[in-house]
Amino acid sequence: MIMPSGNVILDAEARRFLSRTGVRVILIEVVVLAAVWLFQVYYGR
Amino acid sequence: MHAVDWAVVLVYLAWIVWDGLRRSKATHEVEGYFLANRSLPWWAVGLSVMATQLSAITLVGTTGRGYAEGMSILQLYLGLPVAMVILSVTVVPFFYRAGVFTAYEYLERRFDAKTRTLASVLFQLSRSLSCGVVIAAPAVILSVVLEWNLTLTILGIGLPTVLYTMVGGVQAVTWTDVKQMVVILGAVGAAVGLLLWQLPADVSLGGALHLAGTTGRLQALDFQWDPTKTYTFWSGLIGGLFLMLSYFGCDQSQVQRYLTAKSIDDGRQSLLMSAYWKIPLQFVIPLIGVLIFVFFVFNRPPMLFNSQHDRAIRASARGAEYVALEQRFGDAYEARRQAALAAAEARKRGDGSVEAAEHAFGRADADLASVRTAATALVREVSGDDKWGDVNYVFPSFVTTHMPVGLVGLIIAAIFAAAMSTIAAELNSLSTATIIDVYKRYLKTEGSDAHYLTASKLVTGFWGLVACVAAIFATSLGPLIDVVNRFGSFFYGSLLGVFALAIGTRRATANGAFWGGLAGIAVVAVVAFTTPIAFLWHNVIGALTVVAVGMAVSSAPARRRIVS
Repeated sequence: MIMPSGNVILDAEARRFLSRTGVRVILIEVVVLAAVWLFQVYYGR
Repeated sequence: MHAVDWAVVLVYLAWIVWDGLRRSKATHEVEGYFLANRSLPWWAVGLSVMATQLSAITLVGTTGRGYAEGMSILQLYLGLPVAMVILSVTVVPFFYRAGVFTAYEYLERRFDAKTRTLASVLFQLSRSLSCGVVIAAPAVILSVVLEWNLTLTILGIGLPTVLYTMVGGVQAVTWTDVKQMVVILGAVGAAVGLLLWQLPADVSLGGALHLAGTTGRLQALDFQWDPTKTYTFWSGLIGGLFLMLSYFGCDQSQVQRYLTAKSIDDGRQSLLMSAYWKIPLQFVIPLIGVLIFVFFVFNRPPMLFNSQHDRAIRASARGAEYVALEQRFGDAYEARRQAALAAAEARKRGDGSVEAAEHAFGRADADLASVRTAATALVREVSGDDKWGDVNYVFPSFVTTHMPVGLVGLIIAAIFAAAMSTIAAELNSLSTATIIDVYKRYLKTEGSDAHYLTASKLVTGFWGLVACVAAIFATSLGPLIDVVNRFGSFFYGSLLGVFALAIGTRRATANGAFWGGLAGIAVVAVVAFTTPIAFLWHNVIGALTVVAVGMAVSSAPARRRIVS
C-alpha cells in the first residue's frame, strides 16, 4: 500500500512477491556465485 | 575492412533505422511517444533494460579488462539481483500507480518543485555529457583500429540513433533495443565459439582455463575487505547494491524503460530478467577477454594494441628504445609459449610435474607483462599522458586481425548496437525530463498534446546534437571524460538518498530532501578528491549522507517551534 505521505507499506501482494520471487532470485544468485567460486578455485592456482 | 564486413555493418544500420522509423506510426500523442501508452510486453522491456545498461564501453572495456586483469569486474554486478527485488516491490508499483512520466515528477508531489527541478536538472546535465562519452569512446577505438575518420565515426553512430529516436520515440527505442540485444548476444556467442575453436589441437579447454587461472585471471570473487580496491565481493555486494538501486530506480534512462510495460507485473518481470541473466552475461563478457589472453599465449600478440601509438612511438626520438623492447617482448613471448605448452602437456600426463610447470608458466607470463609495462611507460613518457593505456583496444584489435570475414562485420555491428541502444534510451529520457520537468512545468504550462509531441521530437533532436558535439569535443579533451564520469558518481548515491527520504519516511520535508541532496553531492565530491576510497562506496556514502542530513534538516523546524 502506498500512503499519501509517500510511505510504502508492503501489502499482501508485495509480501507474496518477496517470499516467492524474491527468495527465488536470491537463492539463484547464491547458486550462481557458488558456481563462480568453484570455477575460480578449480581453475585458479 | 572487407567488403562483406562493410555490408554486414550497413545492413545492420539500415535494418535498425528502418525498424525505428516505422514505429512512428504508433506514436501520435505524448504518452505514446514517451511511454508507448504503457503497452509493451515484459520481455521486450527486459531486453531494452539490458541493452540500455550494456554500452559499447562495457562491451569493449570489459573484454579488454578480462584480457589484462581477469574476471574481477564481475563483482560490480553482485548487488544487482537484490536491487531488482527491492525495486520490484517499491518504485515499480509506486511510479506505475502514480502515473508519472518521470521519476522526478514524483518528487514534486512528495516534496516541492525545487527538489524535483534539482534532481531533473542534475540528471539532464550528467546524462547529456555522458551520452557524448558513450558515443565518443567506441568511436575513438573504432577509428584507430579500422583507420576511419573520427568525426565521421561519431556521426555514423550518433546520427542514425538520433534520427530513429526523434521520429519513433520510446517505441523505436524499445523495439530496436530488442534487435540490438540479439545482435550483441549473437556476436558474444560467435566470439566465444571462435576463440574455443582456435585453441591449439593439443590444448583442451580445461588446460587453457588452467593456464589463465595460473595468472590469476579467473579470480572473479575477491573476499578481501579493502575499501580502496575498486572491485571486491563486498564493494560489489554493498556498493553495487546502492549503485544499482540508484541507476535502475532513480535514473530516468532506466525508469522510463519499465514505465512502458503494460502492467506492474510486466514491469517487475522486465527487471527480473536482468536479475537472472546479468551476472551470467557479465561472466561471459570478461571471459572473452580471458580467452583472447589464452589465444595470445599461442599466437604472438602485438606489444601494444593501439596501432596509432605504436607507429607514433616508432617514429619518435625514442623509437630505437621501443624496437629494443619489442625484441625483448618477442623473446619473452616465445619463452611463455614454450612454458604454456609444457604446462598443458604436464596436465595431460597428470603426473606430479603440473605444479612446477604451471609456476614456470606464471613466471614467464610475469616476464612478458613486465616488458609490456615498460612499453606502456615509454608511451606515457613520450605522449605526456600519464594515464595512457590500451586495454580498450584489445578486443577490437583481436577482432579485426584474427576473426574471419563476416564475423568482423557482426562484431563491429554489435559494438555499434551496444552504443546505439544506450544512446537512444538516454536521448529519449533526456527529452522526457526536459519536456515534462522543465518545459511543461515552467515554460508552457498550457498546451495541446500535438504541441508537446512536436516539442518532444525537437528536444530529442536537440539533445542528440548536443551529444554528438560533446562527443567530438570529448575526444580532444581526455580528462573531461574523467570529470563527466566522476560527476555522475557524485550524483548517483545522493539521488538515491533523496528518493529514500521520499518513499521511506513521512518525517522528511522538502527542505530536508533539497539540502540533504546538495550535502550528499558535496560530501561525495570531497571523499572522491581527497581519499582513495573506491567509487562503488561513494554511492553508499552519498545515500547515507543525504538521509542523515535530510532527516536532521527535516526535524530542525519542529525543534524551533517547541523552543518558541
